[in-house]
Amino acid sequence: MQRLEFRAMGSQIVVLLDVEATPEAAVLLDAVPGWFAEWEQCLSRFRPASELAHLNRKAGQWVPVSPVLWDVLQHALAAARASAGLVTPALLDALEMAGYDRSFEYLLPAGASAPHPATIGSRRNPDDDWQAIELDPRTHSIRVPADMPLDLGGIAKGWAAQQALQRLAVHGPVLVNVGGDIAVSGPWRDGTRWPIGVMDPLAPEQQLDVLMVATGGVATSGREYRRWQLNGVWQHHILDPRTRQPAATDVLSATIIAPSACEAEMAAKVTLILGSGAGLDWLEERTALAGLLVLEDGTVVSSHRLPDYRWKG
Amino acid sequence: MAQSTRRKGTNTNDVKHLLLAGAVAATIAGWGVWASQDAASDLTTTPSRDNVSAPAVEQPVSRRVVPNTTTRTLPTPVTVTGSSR
Repeated sequence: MQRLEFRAMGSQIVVLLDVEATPEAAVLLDAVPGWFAEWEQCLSRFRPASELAHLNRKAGQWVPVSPVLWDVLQHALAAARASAGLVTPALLDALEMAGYDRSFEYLLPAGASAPHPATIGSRRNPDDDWQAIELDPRTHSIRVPADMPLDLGGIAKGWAAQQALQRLAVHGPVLVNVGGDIAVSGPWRDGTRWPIGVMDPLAPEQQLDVLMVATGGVATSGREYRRWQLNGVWQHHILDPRTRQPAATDVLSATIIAPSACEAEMAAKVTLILGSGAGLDWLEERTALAGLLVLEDGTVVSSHRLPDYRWKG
Repeated sequence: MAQSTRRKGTNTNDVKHLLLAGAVAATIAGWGVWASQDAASDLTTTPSRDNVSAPAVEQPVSRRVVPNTTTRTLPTPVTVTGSSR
């Protein structure tokens, strides 16, 4: 098993390739950080020179975009549709007003009062905003409404995991983990499924469980790690588009297994935003998904399909 | 360029290729299963802190409490999923 770890996209990246240690494998893995650097330069909202930042500055105008930005935006829009707008690229203004206006490494957990209003935004139907984005497939151009800057956030990480997976899977079974968004190409050469630990949000050094996954995606949304204070009130980065404020939910973290990393990312956010009752109902209605939730009181609950994946020792 | 074509607005054929985001999202590869599924229109209901799901004493059908794993010896995973790090 060949292993590569590095940081990119504000996250720890882990690549595991089930091949022999050969010079060819080493050369292949050496190329991976360059892929992520290229994608981050295109997709980061924190880099003024990124293509996404350029698109946001040109809001209201048609802007031709690269194949990478075009593809990621399409996945973001698919996630918005699948979630009835609960996972949307159109929340950047609300995120910034909540104080998440720089890369998370630079946010102080108990940050000074920010010059933002306490009221972040008005209530609205989340399924309206994202549908105003216009696309021209003939020229790969996008027009973002003038008051709706985009943030590709977690979907960009899921997309990067899937993209790296596609490039590496021709060489052997592979797993790519982008800050907890995991893509898996197939079982090991001996048929074993990949053992993936689920971090306990209440004790991050411990694992709640181990999931055995052969193919598809796994992702976790949590509100314990990326959080900060704004005017003395704790904020977290999972916004509910219906209120445009950090989601009021009894779910601390939601781990989802899905056919792909992007779908797992979307479903984890939906489950967390909806809360344990409605979130589990939403999961059960979708036969391709399984989930493990940790609630505020420490209770761990799961969907009925999760036992198919839990390690059975 | 689509911008000038659209602004002239005189030829319907010129703008047929323009898509709103909803139409694109319905066709993206790998997401077909979602396109045919009602994305749950009830999700658009605006929540308040009063109606957040709270841990229920009586477990609903869809809720399965996972046994305490501290009594199980877990294998060493190859990697871990958690809140983005």
